[in-house]
Amino acid sequence: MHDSELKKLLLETCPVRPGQEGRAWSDLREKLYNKSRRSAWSWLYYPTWRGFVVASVALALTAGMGGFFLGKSTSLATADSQSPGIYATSFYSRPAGAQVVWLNGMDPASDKPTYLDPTTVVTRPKATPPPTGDPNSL
Amino acid sequence: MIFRFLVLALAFYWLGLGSGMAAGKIWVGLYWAENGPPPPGTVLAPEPLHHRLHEVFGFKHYELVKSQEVILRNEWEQWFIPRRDFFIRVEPLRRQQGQPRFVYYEIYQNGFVLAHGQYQPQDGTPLFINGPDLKQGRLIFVLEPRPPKDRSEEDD
Repeated sequence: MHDSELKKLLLETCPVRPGQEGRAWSDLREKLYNKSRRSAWSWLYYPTWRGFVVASVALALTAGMGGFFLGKSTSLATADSQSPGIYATSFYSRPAGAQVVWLNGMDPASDKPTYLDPTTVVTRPKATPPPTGDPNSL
Repeated sequence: MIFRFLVLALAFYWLGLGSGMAAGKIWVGLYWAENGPPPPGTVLAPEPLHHRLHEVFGFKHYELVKSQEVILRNEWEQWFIPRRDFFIRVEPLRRQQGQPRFVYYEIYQNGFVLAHGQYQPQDGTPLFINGPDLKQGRLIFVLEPRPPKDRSEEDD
């Protein structure tokens, strides 16, 4: 088959619309010779939709892992009761930024001498007045 | 490409910096929290600690009764007895390779153990232990990680 016959056959089966060749050529020339526009952030990451999606997923994963580790670091203490009637719990106070151990059921601290003070010793009358303040303070 | 890698490496370095700082010792103090005016000459909690204590306990003043330092590399029991009827036993536990340091504690009142537990000292995160009421206030233990002064106080 000669070229002329092939061209005739193509024109009959796939007719080229008027101006189609011109439009195709102008599109191709624009893509070939126009300078690509650079974003202000192109030094860090070239902005494409696919890159945006990947960056978003990476950011979410990083935030999730950071939250996991931060959450883990906040649980720094444990507390267990060792006495009947005493309730012990521990928690992290976010506004205070501190770990707290909370004990309930304790007797109030006494201002008077406790049983740990020597009781078998015969006390002599004191010449000096007793010191003021907390008597249990060492 | 190299610049992006450096930015990423720097970001991860900053993220890991907080967990990398290790305390060499913990400062243990007993505070008496109360709302009345503190008598002259008392040592009050410094402002950052006061703010934190106030957030948890709500008292107006926090008077330091007594304090002591526990060096974490000394892995044996240490007693802090600021009062006859309320004291604490602290023991830094042996640290496994690559694992954080834990401190075991026991709270005593009138000679009997009330509670025990473990605490992981971490810079910037003190431990407050709610104690018994005293008069119109309350006794509070504060365990605060401190950086080591010299190499002898550095944690292994």
